[in-house]
Amino acid sequence: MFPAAVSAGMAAIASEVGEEAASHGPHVFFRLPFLGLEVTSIETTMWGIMLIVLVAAWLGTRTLGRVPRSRGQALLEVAVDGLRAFFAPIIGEENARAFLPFLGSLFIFILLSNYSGLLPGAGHLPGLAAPTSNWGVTAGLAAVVFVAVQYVGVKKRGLAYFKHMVNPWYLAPLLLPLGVVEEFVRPFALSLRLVANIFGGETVVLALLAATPWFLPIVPLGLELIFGFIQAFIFTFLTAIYLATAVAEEH
Amino acid sequence: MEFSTNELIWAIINFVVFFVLLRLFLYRPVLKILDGRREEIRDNLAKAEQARTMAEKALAEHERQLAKARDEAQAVISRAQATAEKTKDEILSQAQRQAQDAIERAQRAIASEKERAVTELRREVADLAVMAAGKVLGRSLDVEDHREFVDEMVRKLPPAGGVPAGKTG
Amino acid sequence: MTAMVVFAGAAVLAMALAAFGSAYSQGRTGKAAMDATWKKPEVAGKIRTTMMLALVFMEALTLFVFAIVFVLAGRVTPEIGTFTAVAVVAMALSATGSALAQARTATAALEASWREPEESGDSRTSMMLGLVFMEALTLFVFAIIFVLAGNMDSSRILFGSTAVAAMALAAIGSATSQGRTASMAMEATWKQPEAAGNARTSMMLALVFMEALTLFVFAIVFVLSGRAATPEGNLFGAAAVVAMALAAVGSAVSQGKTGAAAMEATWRQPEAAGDVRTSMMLSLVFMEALTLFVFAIVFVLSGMMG
Repeated sequence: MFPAAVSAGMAAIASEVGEEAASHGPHVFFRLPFLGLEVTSIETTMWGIMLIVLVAAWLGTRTLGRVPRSRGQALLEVAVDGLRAFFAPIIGEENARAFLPFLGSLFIFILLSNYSGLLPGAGHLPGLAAPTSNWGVTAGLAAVVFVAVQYVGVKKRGLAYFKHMVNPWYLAPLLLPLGVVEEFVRPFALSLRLVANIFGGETVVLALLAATPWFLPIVPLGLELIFGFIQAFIFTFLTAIYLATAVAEEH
Repeated sequence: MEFSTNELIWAIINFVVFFVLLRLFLYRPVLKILDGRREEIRDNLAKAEQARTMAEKALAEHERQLAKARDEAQAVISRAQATAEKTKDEILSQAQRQAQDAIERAQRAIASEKERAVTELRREVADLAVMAAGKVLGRSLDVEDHREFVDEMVRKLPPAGGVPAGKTG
Repeated sequence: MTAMVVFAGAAVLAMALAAFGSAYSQGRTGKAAMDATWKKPEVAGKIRTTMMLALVFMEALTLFVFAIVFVLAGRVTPEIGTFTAVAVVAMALSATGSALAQARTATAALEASWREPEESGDSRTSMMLGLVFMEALTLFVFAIIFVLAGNMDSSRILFGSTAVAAMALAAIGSATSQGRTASMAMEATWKQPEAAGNARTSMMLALVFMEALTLFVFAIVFVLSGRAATPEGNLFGAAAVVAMALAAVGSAVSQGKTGAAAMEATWRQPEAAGDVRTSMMLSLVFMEALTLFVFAIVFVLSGMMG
């Protein structure tokens, strides 16, 4: 009464997804001779993404002219100007211009990382694993954001940047710990939100694919396309707000 | 899902490299182009605006000058008119004065001529009368008597302009 | 044999519950469609299309429950009988939760389609988007049951049973707030047709946040399932997933309130839609972070125990 194929699928997913988290990490290719760093599927995927984007950027900007000469340039211009136009009303024209390279890089990096998890075989084929479904990766990105926020804040406003933690001064003993904690909670939540969403979505798709390869996975797969975009967007959006808050003068 | 420091370090390295390269290859050139174009458009707009204000200024200046010229011409005309009027008045009054003078002179000349003529006439009448009377009397009055007599007669005559004295004789 | 009997009992109960949930929701949707049809007979065709689409989604929910009953029926052993029984009931509960939320959304969409017949395409698109999100919640429960059933044995039975129940709870929480937000978005479509696009974008963002809550529970269950074989892991996992579910429901309720309020603000003041969306997102982030803290602590603690 029970189809053998489904049974086999369940056994497969049990061994693949159920145990993976606890037992072994991603596929390790080699270990670097310094720092004890290992190159895993996640790194190769990141490099692949970087390579694709950089090559596309290089091709698109090779024949850059004041009057757009190629379709590629027009596309790049629309993308870059669109990003600026998108962020301008949220964080201001000046900030949008200044932070655009950072925000844009972050967005495209996360977006493609998210989508790489939807490729067939992601997480199983050696060399292909969604970087953003590893907490280490998202924590690394959040750490970069954290440093960037402190950097732009101190660069723009000097020591006055830290005033928001002790303002008003008579509440400083209460506010200072809270402010410091909040500063660290932000990247923490930022990284966890991204990884939990991408990892969860990926696993749902994987499980449903194992359950039935026909129509069920289409719903979460379609949702994952939306999710991958929106999570990349939320990460970038929050980063933009944190950056803008850091450089804003206190009223 | 797991947390590994290995991936954390790699993510930081990779992203920073990615960001730096992308900024170099993509954002900087594209933003430069976009900013350049924006700047150019802004410049062009500013220039157009400047040209427009200049043209407007030139037009205003032109009109102002035109108005000034018109005013000046008007002033010249009215000044000329005033001068002409004055000259006319002067000429007229001079002519009147001269005419008056001429008339007065003529009248004076006439008057003095008349006086002279009357005096002449009176003397001649007196002489004639004396002559006539001498012939009538046959003797001639001596000149002194004579004169007294005639003067007396002449005094009796009507004033100048009346009937000549000879008619009485 | 007793295990099979328990499972069978649970399965029929689950099927009945799911069928009831779907039927009730379909009934509400059908009634709303009829109302719309007599109020605006000239757009009856459009109304019917919207209604049919909604009914298909609700129908599918019961089919998912049927599918999981079918899948689990072959795996019932005395060892994991409890798990299978709890799983099908949990599945039915989440299907009912999804169905009710879908009904709320569909009813609002149908109202929009007769109140603003020209915009009925807009409201239908928004409705479809909303329904997909709610449908996916039940699919998440389906997926977790499937994953857990793969390596279920007597050592993980407590964890597994609690986990599916927790998933169902989280899914119901998410679905309820999604229904609340989505129905408000439908209302915005007819109250301020110009704001329809903005309302849809904001709605989608809000629904993603609420969806994520159930996804977090899914992720933690998945992570814990690898560590639940020991007695401590089993017990800890069971407690942890309950904690996660409670946190998720709490976050979901407040997110639902915020989302609905944001939709209302969008139609009341369409010019401020962008600002409303930014503020909405910032507040949703805070509510989400609360569940994420529970997630993090569970994750770290389970790592320390393993």
